[in-house]
Amino acid sequence: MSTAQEDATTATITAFVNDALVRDGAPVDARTPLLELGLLDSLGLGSLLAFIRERFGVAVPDERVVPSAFMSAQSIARLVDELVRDGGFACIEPAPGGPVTTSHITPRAFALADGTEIHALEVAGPDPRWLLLPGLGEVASSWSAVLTSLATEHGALAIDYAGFGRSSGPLHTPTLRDHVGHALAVIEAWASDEPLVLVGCSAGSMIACELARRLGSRVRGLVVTGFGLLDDPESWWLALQRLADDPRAFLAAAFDRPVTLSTAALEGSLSRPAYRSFLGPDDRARLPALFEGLHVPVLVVGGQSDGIIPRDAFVRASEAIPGACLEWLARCGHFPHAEQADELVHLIRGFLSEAVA
Amino acid sequence: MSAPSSAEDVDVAIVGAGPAGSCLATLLARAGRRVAVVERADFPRYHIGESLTGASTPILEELGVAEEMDRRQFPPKRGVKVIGHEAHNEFFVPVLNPTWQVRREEFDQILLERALHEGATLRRSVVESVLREGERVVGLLHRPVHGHADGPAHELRARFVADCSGQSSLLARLGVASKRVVDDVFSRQIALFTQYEGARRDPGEMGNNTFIFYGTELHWAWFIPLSPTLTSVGVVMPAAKVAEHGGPEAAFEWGRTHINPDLAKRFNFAREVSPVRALANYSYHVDRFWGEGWCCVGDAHQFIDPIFSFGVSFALIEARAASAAILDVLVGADEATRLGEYAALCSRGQGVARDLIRYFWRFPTFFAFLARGEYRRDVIRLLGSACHDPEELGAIKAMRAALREAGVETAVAGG
Repeated sequence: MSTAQEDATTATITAFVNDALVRDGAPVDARTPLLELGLLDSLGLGSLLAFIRERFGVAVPDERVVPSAFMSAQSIARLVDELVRDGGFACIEPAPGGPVTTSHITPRAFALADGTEIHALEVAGPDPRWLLLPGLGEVASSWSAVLTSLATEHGALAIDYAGFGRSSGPLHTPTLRDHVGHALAVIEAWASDEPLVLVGCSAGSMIACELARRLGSRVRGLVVTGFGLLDDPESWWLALQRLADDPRAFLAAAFDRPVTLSTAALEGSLSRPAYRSFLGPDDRARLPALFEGLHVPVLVVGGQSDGIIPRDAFVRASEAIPGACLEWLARCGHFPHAEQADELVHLIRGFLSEAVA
Repeated sequence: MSAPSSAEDVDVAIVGAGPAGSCLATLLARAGRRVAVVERADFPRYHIGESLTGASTPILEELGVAEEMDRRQFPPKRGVKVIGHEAHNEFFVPVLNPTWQVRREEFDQILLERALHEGATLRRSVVESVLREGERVVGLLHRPVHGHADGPAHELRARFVADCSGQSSLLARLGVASKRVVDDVFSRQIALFTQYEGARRDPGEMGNNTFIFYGTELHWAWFIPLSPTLTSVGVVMPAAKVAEHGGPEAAFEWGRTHINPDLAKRFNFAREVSPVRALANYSYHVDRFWGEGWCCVGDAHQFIDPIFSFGVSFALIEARAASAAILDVLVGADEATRLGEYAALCSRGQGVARDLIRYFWRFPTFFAFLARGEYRRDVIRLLGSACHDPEELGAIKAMRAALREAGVETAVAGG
């Protein structure tokens, strides 16, 4: 016997499946066997879980992501209704001593002296802990796959910059210098003396280099992704600003595989003042010296299909830093932590064990 | 029947000089036992099954061949990449321990030489039957490959006989072990494979990994680097499709270009350097694979869908377990107890591997999810072929529950 609530949820799920998952072929109804028809592939499952989180405010715990619950729109709706009844997010709290789940990713907030509150996502684990610095316009959760892939074998923290994601505060047009200051303050609060690994992507790589220079030997490794040594920073910045005006073109350049779901979110962040204010003329003038004075082990990782940073720039960066390693990832664009998270983690682990040896 | 031309006595007679046979021979000979290996093929010889899993590394180190493997420049394997349907998605699972991709003609030769170095002896011979005293197997009758075809067979008396004959399943064929049972789920698949010079790999160390390309259910392909330039490429499909495509060559070509777009684009400057070979890919097992004076090891009693490259590693794991059991039996331990323990270990590994693979085929989406989520560490262990561990990992528990819910029979934990 189905209730009105169940029917409404089923209709919402069915509509999502038809919009987002049915590529070509007949539309599905509440009872269409999604798995038997191969309609729910890994990407589809990911976007469905994201949709459920956004639309219904519940995260499906890992142990509930099982085939029987995803047989049809109706069975998915039943699961969603049950999770909603049980109190939404409250139910993803891991049981003490239970298995490692993605819900071990816990939100953190750091209140800084200048009034900024930096939001972050953390996984607990042994040192050296990894500080994960996203690209500009990205949010902390873009590192989710990396946080999961670490499987609690290292502690890690991914942050939202001021002006992005869930961070908040008085600064509307923060600059590179502001972000470096914030990151130092977060590190002070999160890991005052512990050894660190800095992993940056794009703008996060610029911040990571600056941090590595300041923090010295407690940095056990610096990982630069999505950035390199540009031969003409001015024209590159100009081209990037033009690209940012056209989110579709930006996505096409930045990702190896087409991305659709985050377009709206990205559009929002690319047009923010904080995106435009990041790199002032002085900062751009200093870019050629970005990789100087780094006295820590450095790994540069380039995505083979990065359309934002030219291939040469990765090579030049690795050549400019004495002893730096350079690795490439296939089927990977500007954001390795989003497109090849497992391989990135694997490369970093290998690099760290070599660096220690 | 003419009397045997010659008779000799050893502690253990081993049929087959593949990884199971040579590993077993090495460990037994090293412990001071007189070991004879009977092998019908001229070594070195080609063999399929070129990827190892992390669980094999400690055994190869124990055998003392790891350095030689590095010296031969076998590509270091650090993980497995699975590229999904239409290359929309992919996931990577690192190996449990760093291991290798191997050229089997060389790898098997290295292992055999190690066994001979430890004191095992080799007969180039074809086994014709077993010698029995009552129920007990007490040796082999074999005919040398280079001897007279019509001369008498040679008698090799042994206190224990180990069948490491691979897919020949000698003892099952001779009626000593029970008959092979073909598993329904993966039956009627064919593997078609060859080697390429210059096929395009992923960059750097990651390019040395095993690549599995998923097409649709029961259609997949492998791409395994064997040297800095040589790559093994195979496609697997239902047997009926091979005829539909007009034979093995054409079917391989269809698979190479159609199973997955990311596979298809790797051959622009590549050259096929060996003929397309075909092998029935039936998963089978033998229920009763040990008895008085004998046991089967490796493919001789079970063959599993090769999707995760478990074959060689399982052979080594079982050979090591068998060597411990046989050594105990030779000094008076209760045979049924020790072989029973050996068999339980084999069945446990086989059951876990079979359910893991069933789940992979039945629910690929959820397999990928498990490989990323809470059970990532379990999946890393399982793909490292740690399937024989006594503990039933959470991931395999979850997979079995899902399979049972879908009406698929699963192995019993610990069985």
